[in-house]
Amino acid sequence: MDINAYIESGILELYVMDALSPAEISEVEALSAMHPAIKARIRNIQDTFSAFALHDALPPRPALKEAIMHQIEQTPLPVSPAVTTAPHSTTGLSTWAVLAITAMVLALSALAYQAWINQQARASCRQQTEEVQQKLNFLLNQGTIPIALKGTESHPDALVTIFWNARQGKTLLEIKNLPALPDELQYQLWSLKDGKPKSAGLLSMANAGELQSMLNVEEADAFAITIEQKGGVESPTLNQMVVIGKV
Amino acid sequence: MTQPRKKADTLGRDNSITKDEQIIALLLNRDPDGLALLYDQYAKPMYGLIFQVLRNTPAAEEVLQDAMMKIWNKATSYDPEKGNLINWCLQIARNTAIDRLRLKRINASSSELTENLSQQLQTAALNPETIGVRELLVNLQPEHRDILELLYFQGYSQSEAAEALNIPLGTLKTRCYAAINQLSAMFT
Repeated sequence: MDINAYIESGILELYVMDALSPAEISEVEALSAMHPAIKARIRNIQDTFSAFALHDALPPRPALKEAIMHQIEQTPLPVSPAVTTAPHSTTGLSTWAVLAITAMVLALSALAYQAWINQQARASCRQQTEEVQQKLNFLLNQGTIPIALKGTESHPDALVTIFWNARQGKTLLEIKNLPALPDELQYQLWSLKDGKPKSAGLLSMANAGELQSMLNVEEADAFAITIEQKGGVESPTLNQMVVIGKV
Repeated sequence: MTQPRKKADTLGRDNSITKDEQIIALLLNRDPDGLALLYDQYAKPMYGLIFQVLRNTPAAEEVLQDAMMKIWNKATSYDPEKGNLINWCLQIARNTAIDRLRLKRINASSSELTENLSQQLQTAALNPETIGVRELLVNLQPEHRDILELLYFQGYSQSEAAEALNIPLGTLKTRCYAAINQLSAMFT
């Protein structure tokens, strides 16, 4: 392999700027472990960016450090083994042996517990990242179109955005502005095709700030939202329409 | 314009190695003093970089706070083999800022309903008002500046950047290599 050609190809710059695919990242890391020249060039690129950042260094507000230090004090510390008193030996083992075994068991349980906590946190984090990535891919898909649902006469300020992909049928919804409802009522999304409404699911006001996944919609020439009894209804109450928008 | 300082001075490598080791040891012990020291040492370049990406003080402050929490929570994943401490801190700062920028792009896309998303990204990225502000980049050749602007400050993938600049992927890569050489020469 021609190391110089590889270095001069520009792939290492893309690696440092985090612009490569996971497969290419693995390739660069494997080659960097084998060839000191590649590793040195990566360091050189990183140092260039660090020098760049140091040149543009900017002091944050002094209060920010305090806020951060306060925040980490609120973060729980890892579990440390609890101190317990060992029982008197009745099995022929010395007190020291019992103490040592107890300490070992406690340390191992603490480690296992910590590993379990870490695994749970990682799994939850991975799941969240995957969800965000999926939504991002969906939004960036060329077939996905944004549709503004604007307020009707009775709710002129109401505004909701739908992201709909006709080919996939998938629909995401973002509440921009909808008034809060009493507990017994709920907003319901409808797709309309040739004037016929079909329920596309219920809105969650608790997740108003997030992109909500709605039911799949195969065909539609408009979308609308009505106020209905909690749990939804089979056909919309048209005089309770809050927003509507054409595809 | 301010002339870039010499690399050896700006990185301060010789006298900061022991300090880095001290910071890492404290962080691995979950000692808050470790983060306080790291903050004193690196918050300024981190905040500068975050601000360059976001250009908005409240957002940059939030992102610095998030980045510091990430450092605090994943100190064990720091691998000195992959770069020194400042590089790791800056990488976390930049990634956190770019994530925020991507979210902002999604929100912008829903309000600019009629615009095609990729066109929007392109216009935002190539807007001379946002390009001109990174002081040092002004001295680079325009084609090198565009590359760093899109890839480093806006977090584009290689194919997104090639598409936005309307150049083949191979050309993008060669320009990357040349752009870093030109930038690096400013610090030596």
